[in-house]
Amino acid sequence: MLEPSYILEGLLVTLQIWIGALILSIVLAVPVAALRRSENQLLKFVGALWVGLARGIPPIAWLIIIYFGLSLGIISEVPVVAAIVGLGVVNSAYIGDSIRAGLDAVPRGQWEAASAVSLSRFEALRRVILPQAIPIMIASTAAYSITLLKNTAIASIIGANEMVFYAYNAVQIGAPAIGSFVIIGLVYLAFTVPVGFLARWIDTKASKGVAV
Amino acid sequence: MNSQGKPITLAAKGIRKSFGDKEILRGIDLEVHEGEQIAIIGPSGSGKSTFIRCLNLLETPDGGSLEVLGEQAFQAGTKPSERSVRELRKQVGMVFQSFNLFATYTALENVNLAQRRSLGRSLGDATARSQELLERVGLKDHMHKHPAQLSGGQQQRVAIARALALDPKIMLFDEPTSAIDPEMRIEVLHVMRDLANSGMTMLMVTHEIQFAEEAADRVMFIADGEVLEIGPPAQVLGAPQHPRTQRFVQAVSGVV
Repeated sequence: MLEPSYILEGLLVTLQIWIGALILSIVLAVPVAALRRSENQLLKFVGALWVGLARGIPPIAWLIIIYFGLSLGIISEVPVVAAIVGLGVVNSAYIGDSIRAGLDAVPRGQWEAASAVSLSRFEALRRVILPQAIPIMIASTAAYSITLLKNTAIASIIGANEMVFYAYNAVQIGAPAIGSFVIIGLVYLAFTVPVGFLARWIDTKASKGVAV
Repeated sequence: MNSQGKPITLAAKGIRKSFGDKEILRGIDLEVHEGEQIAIIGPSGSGKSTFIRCLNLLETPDGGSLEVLGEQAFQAGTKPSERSVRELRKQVGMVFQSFNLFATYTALENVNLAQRRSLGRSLGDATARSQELLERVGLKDHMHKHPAQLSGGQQQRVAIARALALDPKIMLFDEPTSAIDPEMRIEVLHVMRDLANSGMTMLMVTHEIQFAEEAADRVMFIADGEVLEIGPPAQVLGAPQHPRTQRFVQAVSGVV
């Protein structure tokens, strides 16, 4: 039988990886978006390369490469940290695209009107563009965060003691396989469904705030 | 209004602009006197909008020079600094075809924003000026509404107030009534006429031939990136010389 205390313990680690990777990916996504929007061809290429590598390699391979391959001391020693870094890198490509899409969703006319009234590029971005772009970015970031939450299950491969890790180990010592994984499946749903609703709600709100 | 003899406030010389291989402006000259109103007409794709956008450097010309209020604003071959471009735009206001009001702000905030962030006015001073301007364009009662809650005509009048809030010396209008329902155009044209009567120097790209006839001192006809004709409305619209102008004037006056 899969003990509730193990589910809870696993859940806390799952959430730790999820939130940690989400924060790291948002931090990494800002330069990724900046690189991809750059006019400089080299910088643009670096951005595209980052996104290509992050998205083109399966997350499980990323985690194993980071955990076993890079002997960066702390990262390779602690599976949870390795999972946060690996999933953070992968997710940064998606969040980077959310940021880019959010900026692109704001019509050109908003930039032009801001420059026409002599605002600096920084003020235009801060006062005019971002207030319209951020809700759009948040909506798609929330949607990607669902995928990220599900991907935390991969961390069990490198020994992070998250929910799947406990469920799998319980099954190994005789707990029913279907029952155990249905239970943790429901726990995942308890997070993914509300986040999904939140993403859609922000999205409808956000689309009203953009200039047409 | 006769403004000949007044100082020249804007001088464009040989303005050229290409997008890719397509040459949009083939060297346009224009001198505008203080307090003068100029209507710019011409077929779609003639380059008239591109020309007016070169005058506040929303488009950087590929050739020619631009002098505004006695200052060199642009000279081909040199890149104007962001600082000088921003100074130019404080003097030269612009109104767009699609209004481009800042979507997340109320009408009042739209008019306030650049006063605060470009001119550094205090919130109190900016608000007082904005209220005065919104009253002038007949929208005092709507000042706390967001753009989405306003009609096209109302949005455009807010946009005019927003441009005037920087106390510009020259106002550019890029087809200000083209995106507005016919019955709402009148209120925008009314505001523009008031502005003209107050002595504002204005350049207007427009399809409103009747308005051009009444409100402009000179009409400039552009086709294929060149000025084919420029002069008083009675001359350009009443007795056009160039066959291209004749055809255009005939076509637009035919469709009432």
